[in-house]
Amino acid sequence: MTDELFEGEVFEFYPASEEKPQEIVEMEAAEDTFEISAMPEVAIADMVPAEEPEENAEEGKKKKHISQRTKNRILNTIIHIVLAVMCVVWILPFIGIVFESFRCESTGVVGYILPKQWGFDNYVRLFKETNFPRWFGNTLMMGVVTAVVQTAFQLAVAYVLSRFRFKGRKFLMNLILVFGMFPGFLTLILLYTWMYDWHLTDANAPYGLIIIYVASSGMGYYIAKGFFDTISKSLDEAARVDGATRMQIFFKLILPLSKPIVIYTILMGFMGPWGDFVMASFMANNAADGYNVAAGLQWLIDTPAKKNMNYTTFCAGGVVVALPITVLFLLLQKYYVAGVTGGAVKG
Amino acid sequence: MSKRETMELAIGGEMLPMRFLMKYSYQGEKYAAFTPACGADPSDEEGVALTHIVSAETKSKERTRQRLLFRLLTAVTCILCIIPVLCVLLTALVFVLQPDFWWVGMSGMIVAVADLIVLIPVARALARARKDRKEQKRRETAYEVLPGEGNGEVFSEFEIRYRIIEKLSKNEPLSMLEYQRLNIWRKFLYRSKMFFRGIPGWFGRKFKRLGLRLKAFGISIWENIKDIGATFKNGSWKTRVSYFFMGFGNLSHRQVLRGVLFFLFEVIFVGFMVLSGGHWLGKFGTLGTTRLEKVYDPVLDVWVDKHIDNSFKILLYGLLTIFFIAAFVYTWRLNVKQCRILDEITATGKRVKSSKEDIQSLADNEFHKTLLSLPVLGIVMFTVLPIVFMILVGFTSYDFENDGYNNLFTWCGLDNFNRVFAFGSKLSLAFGEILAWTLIWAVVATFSNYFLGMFVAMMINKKGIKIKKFWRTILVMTIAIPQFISLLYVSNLFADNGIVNATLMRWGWIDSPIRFWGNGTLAKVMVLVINIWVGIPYLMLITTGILMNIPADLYESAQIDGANAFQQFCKITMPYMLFVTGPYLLTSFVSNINNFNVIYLLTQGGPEHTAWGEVGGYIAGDTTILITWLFGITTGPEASYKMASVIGTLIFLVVSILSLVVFTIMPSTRREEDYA
Amino acid sequence: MKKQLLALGMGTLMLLPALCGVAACGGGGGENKDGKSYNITVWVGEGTDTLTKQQIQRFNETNEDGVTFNANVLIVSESKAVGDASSKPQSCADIFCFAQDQLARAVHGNLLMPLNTGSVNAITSSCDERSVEGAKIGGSIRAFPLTYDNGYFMYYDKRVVKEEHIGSLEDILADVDAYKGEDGLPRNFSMNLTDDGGSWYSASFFYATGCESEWTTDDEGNFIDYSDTFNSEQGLIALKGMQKLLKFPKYNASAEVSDFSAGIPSAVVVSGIWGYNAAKTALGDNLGIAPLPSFWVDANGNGQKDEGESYQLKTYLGSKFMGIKPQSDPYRAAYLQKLAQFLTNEQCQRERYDAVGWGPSNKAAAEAATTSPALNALNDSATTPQGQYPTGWWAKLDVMVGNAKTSTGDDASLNALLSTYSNALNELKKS
Repeated sequence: MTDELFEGEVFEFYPASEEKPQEIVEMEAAEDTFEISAMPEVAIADMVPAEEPEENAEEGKKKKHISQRTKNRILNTIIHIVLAVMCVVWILPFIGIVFESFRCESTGVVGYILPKQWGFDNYVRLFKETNFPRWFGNTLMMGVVTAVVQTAFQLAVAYVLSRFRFKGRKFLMNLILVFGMFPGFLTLILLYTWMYDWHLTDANAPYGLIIIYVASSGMGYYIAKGFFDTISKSLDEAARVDGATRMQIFFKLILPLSKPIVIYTILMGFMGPWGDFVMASFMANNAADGYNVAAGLQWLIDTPAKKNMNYTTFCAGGVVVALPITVLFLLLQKYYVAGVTGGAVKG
Repeated sequence: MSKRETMELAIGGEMLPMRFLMKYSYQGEKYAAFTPACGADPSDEEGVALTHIVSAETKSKERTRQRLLFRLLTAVTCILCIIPVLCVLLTALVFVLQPDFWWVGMSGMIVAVADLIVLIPVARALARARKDRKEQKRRETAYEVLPGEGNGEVFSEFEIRYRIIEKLSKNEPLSMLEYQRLNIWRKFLYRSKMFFRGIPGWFGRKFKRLGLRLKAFGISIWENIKDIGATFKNGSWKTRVSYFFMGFGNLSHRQVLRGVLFFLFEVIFVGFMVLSGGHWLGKFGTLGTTRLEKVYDPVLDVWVDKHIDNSFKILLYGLLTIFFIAAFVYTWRLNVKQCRILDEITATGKRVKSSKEDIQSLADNEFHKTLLSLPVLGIVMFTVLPIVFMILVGFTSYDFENDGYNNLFTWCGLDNFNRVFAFGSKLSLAFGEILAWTLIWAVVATFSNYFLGMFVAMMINKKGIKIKKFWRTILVMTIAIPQFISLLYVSNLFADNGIVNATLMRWGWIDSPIRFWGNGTLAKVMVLVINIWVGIPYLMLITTGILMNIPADLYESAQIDGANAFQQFCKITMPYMLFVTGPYLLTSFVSNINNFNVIYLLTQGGPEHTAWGEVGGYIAGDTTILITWLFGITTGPEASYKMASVIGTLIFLVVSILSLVVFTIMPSTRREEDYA
Repeated sequence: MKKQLLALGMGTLMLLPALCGVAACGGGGGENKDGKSYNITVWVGEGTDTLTKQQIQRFNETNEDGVTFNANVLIVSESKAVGDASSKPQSCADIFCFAQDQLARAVHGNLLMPLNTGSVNAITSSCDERSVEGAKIGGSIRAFPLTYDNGYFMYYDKRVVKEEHIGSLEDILADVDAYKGEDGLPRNFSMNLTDDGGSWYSASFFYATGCESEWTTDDEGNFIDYSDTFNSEQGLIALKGMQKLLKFPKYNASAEVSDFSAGIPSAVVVSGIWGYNAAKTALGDNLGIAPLPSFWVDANGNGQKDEGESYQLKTYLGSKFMGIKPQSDPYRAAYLQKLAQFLTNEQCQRERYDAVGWGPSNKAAAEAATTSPALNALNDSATTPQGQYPTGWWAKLDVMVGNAKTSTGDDASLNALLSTYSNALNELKKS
């Protein structure tokens, strides 16, 4: 819309301040009621309205300097306190969960945080009396396979949409965009029936889930495409001149340059199955062998009676699940950042 | 960082508008290119021809950035402008038609007001960005006015002003220089006038384009049919055989691979149609007619079931068959086309591509087909097909009673849609209110997380803050614990009889428990606050990365100029952040509309809002957003899939149109055209 | 010529799968099974999975037909089994346990196989008449009674509520209100009237005042008619009585016995026998168990104790059932019925009573089950037999009670709620 603001093509030309043409200088001089907007020199830095610098004597400057420093120190102290409070607020529930997992005197929800009796009972119960090892194995398997295939799919789609121009490209992008908006679990019942026909539900649910996770993963191409867009096309062209095929360019040139986004995609793919409980419990259809950790742990407490029996075990399971993910995340967080922002820069 | 810079530089060259005739200087020297007519309108009364002096290097980067920011802001402003108009319309409609449901109107007004509050800073940012952009262009482009070129007339000041007033009164567009002569209010007036005058034209163009596209589509189908006919008439006998046995033309021209693939596809298709496709398709119109039969076995004294029709499967596999037929028609057309091309090639005596070359090109020029095949197949089968299926369910009577297996369901036209649109019914009332809360939730959740996350990142990044890594690690750790555990714990913590209330009472701060989840308004606030708790670590992580990329000298020079922290934030940090994270902001808005986890795990949509009644046995609550509502309806006692499908379809329509518009206006998509 | 041959070859090739398909369609469907061994899935309630496995094992060893069942026993709570089964009808378990209020829905959704004469005779001869009556839809028995204990009563903390006060709601509320623990916290009264699933509990107030709601079904579980007297003077009194609790500042909408150990603990929790163990752990010797109390309402509607008339709250009392999914193989169907008979016979019910405290529906087993205080309290309660209601009815009742909580409580507004409710029932019947 804005492009049609003025007649003809949009072109904003301004006389440069140093080399103002004669006519315009005259016009400016004749200016009385109309204004010509002020013309600052440099971009962002100078948009800050320049306050008149203190023209006082030396002392004044010094005084101000000192007060500035104390001010800064006070500010820093405040920030430290705020951060400390924040950390407490953020970490408290997690400490609470850890405490719950070590509580032995009862197994239900209680009204205090510190356990009265400490011990590893809940962890023992978790591994001995529930199917948790199986759930953990399921999830790990799903995570690994999903990570690998999803990365392949996403990178493929992203690379094609970034580098190739073909008929139907725009259509494909719009299709993915629009269909990505549909509330996903409405299709659960259909996917269940379908997978049931292939015997990939109930105890086999993890395999069915992998198919479901992976099949549509091409739709999450945005971030990787944004990253590929930042890699200069002239690199491709140079390689083409040297006789490389498109496949070689992708595998030998682009992928090595895209380490952050590859790791980001893998990380995201791996973490997906750990938190999904709606789809996982629906597909497993009460078969405890087919749960992932989220569905399994949720199932442990799905009625009041079970919650009374299993709440602390549930928390222990949460701690066990959180550990590997925390480590992974802490190790790879710089790739996470690079992935998100790398994509975001180019949208 | 440095790598990215070089990358940007490299692309930058391509991004310059083509109307600048440019030559590059590899050393980054200033070059001059004489462009007689490409910038200035020849009829411009200033009558100038321009010479641009361009520095390719500095220009490209800055300009791209600024243009992106500008367009992004424009897009956001447009949306923010449209929402209150819609809300006010809705309010008016409600007050006129259904004054009983004044609270729908009120929530509409609240959305409008909230929206306007958000609009103000955005509009200001837009104005600033516009200024920057001009500034930028002016700074990097030096002009020389060559008197005597063009029509060369010189007007007196009076004449110029007279012409401006005349143009304004006639609603004619001004030229840039004329515009510059307006004072600030007149500029604003002019600008808004042009904006609103532009809207019909904009929509007009969109519709026209849509119409043209439809027309082109129709024409292309007609052309295809004509071509098929012509090929049959004029083609060789091999081509004609290929009409019935796909791939024969290719095989007879020694394109074994293509031929075999075509033929295999046909065999599979025919086999599928005979084996099951025809069966499903035949029942698609009725979704089955014979329910199960109960057969008595007198010897064992038991009843057994014989299932005959299954509506669900008929709908599913019928749809699959239709998809398959479409794919077949497309392939068949491809086959015919290739035969024609092969005929033409052999007629000119050239050699046709061999199978080996076909395979090679799949790794090279046709590499995108290789890469896309599996992902696109997956998307079509597991996203497109299910969604089309679910939309179709909205036109059937599918619910827990008519599950398709034990009791058949059938087509029922628009009945379900009529239930939602019966204005004033409890269902439509609930729909309106839940939609309003969903939008408020999405806006507040997105922006609160965004700004607070950035704020925290800035605090941690501030000079003089110690153990930065520690603060960051603590926050990041919270990401790793699955939400279904942490949110459940938090939900227990704030229960009516939970630890928080107990502690507060023990300290004597309150006499009766605060009903965090029992009071609708409080529950909404709590959900938003806890969502901040969930979201800040992510945003902190993302923004930290970006903040560290902002060149430090910008802040230094700003400090020298005496800008305080707030000014620095507004003038340096904010524009940079908005520019970089704009697309992220939009996608996270959409994902917040569909944010199931936080709401469901914290409140399950409660506290129950009984004034709305129930839908499908499910009573929606005050914090219910559309997505949890859908979940409740589908998993509730009556499992009303049909209603869920209707509501899902409606959400889908609204959200997808909105997002299509947004993404078309958005810089990333627009700029793609600069590449192409 | 070569090419024409090729075309011909392709033609035949293409027809081949079609022909095969036709042949396959005609001959398909034959299932080859070893008649004596079956793989089945069984859904049972929490805590009985291992026991059920042992029992099935015993059945395999002892049955006369020499049938072996390889059972996959899964835990699915009785309240959600029918819902799960009806959302995925093909993959429902062969044998599943469910609560009585779901029976009509299960029959209507064709989730239950009609029982043969052997099973019906076994049920009528050995089970409590009330649970047999409850198993009937349109005159025929449709499922095996597994327990007869599905009701609710009152768990209370003896330190807070005096034993002589447990007969009267007003006294209990006064006791709870007056108590202040040494931890500085008050105590709550937990009864789920307004939360999800609250209508099962809130109905007790209506039955207390003599209201009735009965729905009749046909043989297929369709609701054909109803008589409902909630919208009456009696219903108004029930709502007024309920408001005492709803407006009680320490009222907590929950039926979980874990409230005894919550941050602000409850002194009274209305729940069923499934909460007994947890309640015992939380309160130990201080745990008291009693039938539901009665409440008083006078002519002004705000009666204290001994003013106006007293109304005894009545719990629903019903069974949990074991049902069999319709089968396509008659032998399998017949053997599954024998297995279900076995799993609900006297011995198995006794074992269940010993292991998890479920009240038997088998007469002989029930007579022996006298040691559980929870079951005794339930048996002492004033009860209403659990009837069959359309799923919508529960939600309508929930809506009414939810609105009663926020209403001012005068006669006019409560009457308005009642008439809205009865209109909603009319609509429900129509649809």
